[in-house]
Amino acid sequence: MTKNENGGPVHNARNIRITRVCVVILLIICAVMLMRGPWLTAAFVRGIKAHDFLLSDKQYAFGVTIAIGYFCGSLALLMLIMMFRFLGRLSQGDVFTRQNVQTLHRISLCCIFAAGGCLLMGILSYWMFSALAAGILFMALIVRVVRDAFERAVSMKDELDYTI
Amino acid sequence: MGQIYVNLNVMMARRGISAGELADRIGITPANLSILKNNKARAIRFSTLEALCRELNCQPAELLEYREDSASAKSFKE
Repeated sequence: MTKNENGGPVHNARNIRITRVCVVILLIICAVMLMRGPWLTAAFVRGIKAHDFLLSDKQYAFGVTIAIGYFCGSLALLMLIMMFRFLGRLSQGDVFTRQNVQTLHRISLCCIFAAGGCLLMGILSYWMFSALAAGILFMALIVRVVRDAFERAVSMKDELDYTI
Repeated sequence: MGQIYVNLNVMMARRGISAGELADRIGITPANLSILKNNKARAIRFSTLEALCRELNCQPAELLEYREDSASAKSFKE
């Protein structure tokens, strides 16, 4: 098997590179969506049928949607930046470190809070957001499992580093 | 709770061998030998112990010592 400069297989480095490119694309999309927030929210409120809203007052619905939208969008932006840095550290060969465990913990927290925001949107606004909340919550659980695995690997690495 | 101590300093002084020379002879880095000397190591490989015993011409029991916490505290006071 061909190895890269960090001793890992070459396809690992390629996977990380592809993921970083995807994260950058998502970051741009997220930033644009945040910048165009009021326009997007207005289009969304116009597009959704009136009976989908618990909040019958369109003006109030706009306010709630934009507030939750900015909350979730900011969390997504933060999560993507942390993801980008995390992938950068992985590509440099710093895999099982306490910093990575902390980053994964923070990413999972972002997911949980974003899921909460989406659930609120599902209740107050369009029901489909509840499905999105379930998906994000599932992702948070997966990230937490990965975080636990990283945490265990860090302690095993410590043990190995101090075995002479 | 007790702890295992590596009496490497004592054995090295008895044999008149420096840390750098010993590290070189047993094939570990001086940094790792320092971890061992300062009792920071979590575990020791049989191969390392074997090499240490060979180069210092001693038995494993002469290198390793179990001390109770209170006993080790007393010995430090003394």
